[in-house]
Amino acid sequence: MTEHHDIRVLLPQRYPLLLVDRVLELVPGESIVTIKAVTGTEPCFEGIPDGAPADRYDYPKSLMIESFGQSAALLWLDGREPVEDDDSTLMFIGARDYRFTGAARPGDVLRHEVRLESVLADTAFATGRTWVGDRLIATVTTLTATRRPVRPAA
Amino acid sequence: MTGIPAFAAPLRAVDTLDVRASGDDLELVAQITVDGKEPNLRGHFPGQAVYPGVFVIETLEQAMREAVGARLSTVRSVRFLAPLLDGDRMVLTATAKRTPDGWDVTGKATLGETTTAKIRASFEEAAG
Repeated sequence: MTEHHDIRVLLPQRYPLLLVDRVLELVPGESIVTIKAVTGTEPCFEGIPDGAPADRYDYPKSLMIESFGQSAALLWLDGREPVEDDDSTLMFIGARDYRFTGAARPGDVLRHEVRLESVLADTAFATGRTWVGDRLIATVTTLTATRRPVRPAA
Repeated sequence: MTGIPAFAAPLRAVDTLDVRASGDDLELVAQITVDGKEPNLRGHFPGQAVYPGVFVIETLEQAMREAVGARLSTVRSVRFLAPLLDGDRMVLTATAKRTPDGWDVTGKATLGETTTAKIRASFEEAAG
């Protein structure tokens, strides 16, 4: 089990966009299970007025995707030597069929199950699902990430 | 042209939104200037703000919520082609076509002449 302090060594994101709390399972090169706890004190819920409808507290889907993507990155980075050159960053470059079947609200724990489908050169393809308890809230057919400079020289 | 959607803060992904009807379709133009001092970008990444790719999806979701109250159900395809950095102004142009239970949306994000992202997504009408 990889705790949060270990995750911070591997991922460059920081508060409030470091969106993996703990790794529950990791099969190197194959799969990873992570969790991200959603609380009412998330910055994304800041400033919502009292009396707002319940769905204002749906965890943003964009952040759910980011959390899934960071989980995929942890799987890919596991066991690799840190790259030293380097102005390149592991970047999320695409997805296909990311389907939402439910929502998460404060008090829910997102559980991401990610499988690494293939790695071609420096590009990785992952697939997976996100659960809250036994409720499936998202599936993704393909998520793609690669290592590239933040902004290539013109 | 409308101002900042109320729900956008503090996950701010739309500065201005222009919505036009085109027959049964909608044409949306959402713009956002990447602000490296914005709290979310301080963590993505420390020392160099990069607009997270997923925030392009957030921009489209906020635009569709503001325009027609629709909610994102499936990102059919998204590709991030070039990064957006502090100070960059992203223009997301999208066409929303009516479906029996919502909208099919095709969008393109640009920075000047550069296409930074392409997205196809399905939206459903919000319950109630």
